[in-house]
Amino acid sequence: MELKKLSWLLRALLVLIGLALAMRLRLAVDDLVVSFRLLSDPYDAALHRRGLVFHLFCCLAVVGPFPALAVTWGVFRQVGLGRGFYQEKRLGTLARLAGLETALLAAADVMMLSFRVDRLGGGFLWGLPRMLDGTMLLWLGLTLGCAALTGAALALSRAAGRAAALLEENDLTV
Amino acid sequence: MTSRPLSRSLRALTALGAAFWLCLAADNTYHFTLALRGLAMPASSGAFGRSAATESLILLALLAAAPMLWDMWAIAGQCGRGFDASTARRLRRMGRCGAADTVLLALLVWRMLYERADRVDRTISVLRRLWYRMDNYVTEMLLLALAAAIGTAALFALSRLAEKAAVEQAVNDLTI
Repeated sequence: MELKKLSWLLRALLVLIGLALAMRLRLAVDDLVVSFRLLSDPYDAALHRRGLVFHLFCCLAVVGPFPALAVTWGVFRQVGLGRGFYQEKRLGTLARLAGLETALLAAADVMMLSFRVDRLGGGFLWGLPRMLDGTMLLWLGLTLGCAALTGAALALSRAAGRAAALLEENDLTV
Repeated sequence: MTSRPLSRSLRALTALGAAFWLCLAADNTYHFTLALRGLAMPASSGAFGRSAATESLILLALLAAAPMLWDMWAIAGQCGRGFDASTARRLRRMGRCGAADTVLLALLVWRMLYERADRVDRTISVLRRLWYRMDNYVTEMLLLALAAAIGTAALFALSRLAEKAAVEQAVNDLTI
């Protein structure tokens, strides 16, 4: 009973995360549309093109977690059922999706850093803290968090695989 | 052996959470001190008073979440060793912190809605007024408050499971 309740609560949390992401997606799409319109502006055309590519990466990075949320829904639905093989596959997919998201976020980080290169004027050591402003730190933190989640999903997938193998062995023994 | 990478990954996530917490706390302390300084100005002390109240609620919510990071670090270190009495105790304590956070975040949402009262026409219906007051910031805080409520319930459910597992383990140990 307790496990069933836990499963529902975890899925409710996923719904809330989905809603928060949908809000972010709306903002990201707004930014993308604005940068697309700016392309027609002849001044700073190169900068606008870079801006468009960056906002495209941002949109992809916000869309990326949705398939991962769908897979996590499946994982949380099976809380307490102990079906190791299904969980191993799902967690493996989750790890791959999280890895992809990490790569997307890392690409966006590199673009953001390239936008801030002109702040390195007074030398690398003095310029680096100026480059790492609040937004940049938040994005770097997100990327690192996503990398840590990828590691956790991989480790969990291996553990689920081992549990499934043990379960099958026990079944055969009985 | 698989528990070690999992433990490390969870600890890395906790460390990132702690860094994020520190950044937020520093930012809010700065805003709080600004609002307190503004209180000394007679012309706008009312607005600064309201701002100080909101900032103090955010600070309190952040402070209530701090012990959870500590417990999370300890629980992440116990990966693969199964649930025991100390894990159950930690999860219960995290649940209590989560409950305090839920109350503070709910108060914060109410406070933010109250601050936005003058933005809308008073002649329209209550629901429409509420809809107009719900900007992105308030909606995010509302989602956060709901997440804190659900997370609190999940933590209490986990702590009860941990208790049950700890009792079963103790019975098994006695039987052996």
